[in-house]
Amino acid sequence: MAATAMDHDGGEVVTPGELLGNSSLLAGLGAYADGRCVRASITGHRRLVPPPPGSTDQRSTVEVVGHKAHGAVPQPGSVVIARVTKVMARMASADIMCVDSKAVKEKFTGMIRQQDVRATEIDKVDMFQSYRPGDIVRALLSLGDARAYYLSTAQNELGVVSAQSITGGTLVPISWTEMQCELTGQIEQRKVAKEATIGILDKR
Amino acid sequence: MEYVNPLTGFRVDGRRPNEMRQLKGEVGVVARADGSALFEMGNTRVIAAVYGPREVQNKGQQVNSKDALVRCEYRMADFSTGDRRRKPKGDRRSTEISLVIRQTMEASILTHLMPRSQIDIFVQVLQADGGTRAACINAATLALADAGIPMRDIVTSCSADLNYIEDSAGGPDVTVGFLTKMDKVTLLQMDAKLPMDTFETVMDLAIEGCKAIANYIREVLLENTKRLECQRDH
Amino acid sequence: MDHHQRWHPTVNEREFIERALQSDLRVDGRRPFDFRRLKILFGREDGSAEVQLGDTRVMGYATAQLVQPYKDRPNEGTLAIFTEFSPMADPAFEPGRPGESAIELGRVVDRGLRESRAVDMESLCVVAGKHVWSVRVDLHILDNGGNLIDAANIAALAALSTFRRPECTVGGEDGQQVTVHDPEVRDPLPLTIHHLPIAVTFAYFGEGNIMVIDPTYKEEAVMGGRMTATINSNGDVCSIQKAGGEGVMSSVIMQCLRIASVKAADITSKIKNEVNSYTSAKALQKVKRLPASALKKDNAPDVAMKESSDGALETQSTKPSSDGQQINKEPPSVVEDNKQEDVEPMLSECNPEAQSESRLTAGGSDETQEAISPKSLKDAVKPKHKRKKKQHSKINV
Repeated sequence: MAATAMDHDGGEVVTPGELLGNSSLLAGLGAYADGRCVRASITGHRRLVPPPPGSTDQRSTVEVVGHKAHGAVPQPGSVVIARVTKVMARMASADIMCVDSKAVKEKFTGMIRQQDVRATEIDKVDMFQSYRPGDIVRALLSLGDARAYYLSTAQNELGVVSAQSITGGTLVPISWTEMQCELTGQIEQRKVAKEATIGILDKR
Repeated sequence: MEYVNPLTGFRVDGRRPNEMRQLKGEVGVVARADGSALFEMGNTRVIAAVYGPREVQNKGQQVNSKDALVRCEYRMADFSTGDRRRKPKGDRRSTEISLVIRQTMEASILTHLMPRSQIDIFVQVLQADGGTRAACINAATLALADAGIPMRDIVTSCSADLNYIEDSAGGPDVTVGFLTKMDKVTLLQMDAKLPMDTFETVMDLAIEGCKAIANYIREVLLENTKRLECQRDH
Repeated sequence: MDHHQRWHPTVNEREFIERALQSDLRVDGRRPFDFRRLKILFGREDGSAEVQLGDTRVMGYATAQLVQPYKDRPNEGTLAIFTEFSPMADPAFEPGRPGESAIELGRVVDRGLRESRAVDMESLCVVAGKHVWSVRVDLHILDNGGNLIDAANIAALAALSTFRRPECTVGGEDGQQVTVHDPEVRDPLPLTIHHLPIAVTFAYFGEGNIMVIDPTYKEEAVMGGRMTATINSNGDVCSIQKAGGEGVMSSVIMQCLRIASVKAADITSKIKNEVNSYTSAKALQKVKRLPASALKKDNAPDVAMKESSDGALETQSTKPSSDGQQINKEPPSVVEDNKQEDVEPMLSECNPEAQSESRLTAGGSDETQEAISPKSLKDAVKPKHKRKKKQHSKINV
């Protein structure tokens, strides 16, 4: 790992289009394969990453690490953190805030449809009993239509990770469908993410 | 009117016939933008700003969900030419130049890496003195590189170097947009009657210009990277 | 602002077209450097042409009017191209405001014609700094089968080649008065066209390695880039437009230009042949009408028209608008040339006899009405004959 760190500082600076190597290398982030050669696609330091141990492909990956990367763009399959903005009878809309571990710079809207809230009894989902505006939700980005990305919370680990009660107190998960207000003790219905449940329960 | 003085061999502005104008490039000139650049070729000054990739604003424009949508708006500042008058927005000329810049940048941006998003390029001519569309493309390239948007290659442009007096006198005006590392021409615009072999000479001259500009742009980007590093270290 | 999308090929359609091109096959059975069948039809009137290039149909219509020249070019006429992309031809065309492709097409055709000085502009000057002919070519896309630029360019050339502008003479006391002659009195004049700049469009596929000429609508939807080279039959490059898109090697561009110049020569001779057969057919028609024009010559001697401002007055009185009072108010520099009617509206600026002129027009309004709807040549000539007498009597008084 030390070698990688040195590479990062000492690696030569390349600009888009510059040749990084031939097909004996794999194109990583900031690089792309163009026929038989690998070229840089952004400005930054060239870096070689050795193949992960145990992988069948013994080729190293070449990446370019820039100072400024473009903002993250949601893609199907990425896990996103989103804030619920509107809840309707058949769907809730949410603004995507993070894609995987990166914060997005610009606003991207997502939509949680009724049938994507949970994996079971999908026809009996009550949207108002699952999400409230302002909730922070972890969701999986499935496809999308022309208007928005479709977000799915139909997994145990997905759902509300942080929320406030009507009175403004922090809601603490007590089961996978309920959360309790810290101030008033009032119980509210949510589709709760499992990991959050464990995390907070452990803390207590 | 003679463009090249037959006695001295110099042009109206004192350059040799195949000498390029002074270049100046600067990145990060618009604080709010994700990427921005100022580019000067002689007296022509152009500023470019890039926003995005961001959510597609007008979903009707989205052609497919696999590639980023690239948009470009070209505008000439009212004070950019000798006669100062209000220029109508969206006239035929600027609509065409917007289209040309957009398609030229699209050829170099790796749009498939940013699906369902939109990249906006705004180009404004601050001072026009010939070769504005070439300067616009160079500024846009710098701004895109500054924004960290992945590109296939650096696309640079050079018109077979005519300044404004020569331009309105109707001399041959060839603008080339060139992907230097790929050795490919993406933009080519010419309007003047030229025999084919003369045209080839002029085009080759413009391509040489593009290569020189690409070297300069790479220098600007390298220097900017070094500058940022110094700032980070201190 | 929501606009209709152009047709998008499915993944399979796209692959099919690209795969076929790799083995030099095109979906419509052509070879890579074959043009589709070109057909040029001419309208009943001069200056109108319809071009069919495969499924693509474009109508070109040339008209002219007298205007004031631009200040920086006082002794040159003007040429302008207008495009009309009707949603009828392609649902992707928006009604109303011209879209990007309409503007690009107009500018490519316009530049090819103007920057190469294909049409002689100086011969369109009537009075330097005052009156020049402004030629306007309207290009209407009737059906979009792909490669609109080439078809529109041919339509513009065909329309301009058959266009005839009315002859006009300068006279009057100050030598500034312009008389526009009735096409029945004097044969209208063709434009001076030095050469025909032919647009030839190439489409690029793959990584710029595959190219075809004259792409169809489907090929356009798949192509990565496009280049239009405007070349005349001498091999002069008049304009090139490659607005970004897939990059190609400069050697490929030169190869395209050489192919284009061969195609340009073919298309030039095709246009010239069609224009020639059209003009000779027109000439034959004229021979048949000769007795009528001979009659006219007797009654209304041409010399009288030329002499002085009388001529100007004479034609002025046939102006379709019978409202004599309005003539003075009308901006004199925008008189429409309208070949459909036998009467020729005309222009007389700084007319010292403007008063008498309007009186005359008011008086002669009955005849004017008659003259507006002439059914035959004889009808058209008759009122002129009458008017002539009337005017003579007036001058005698």
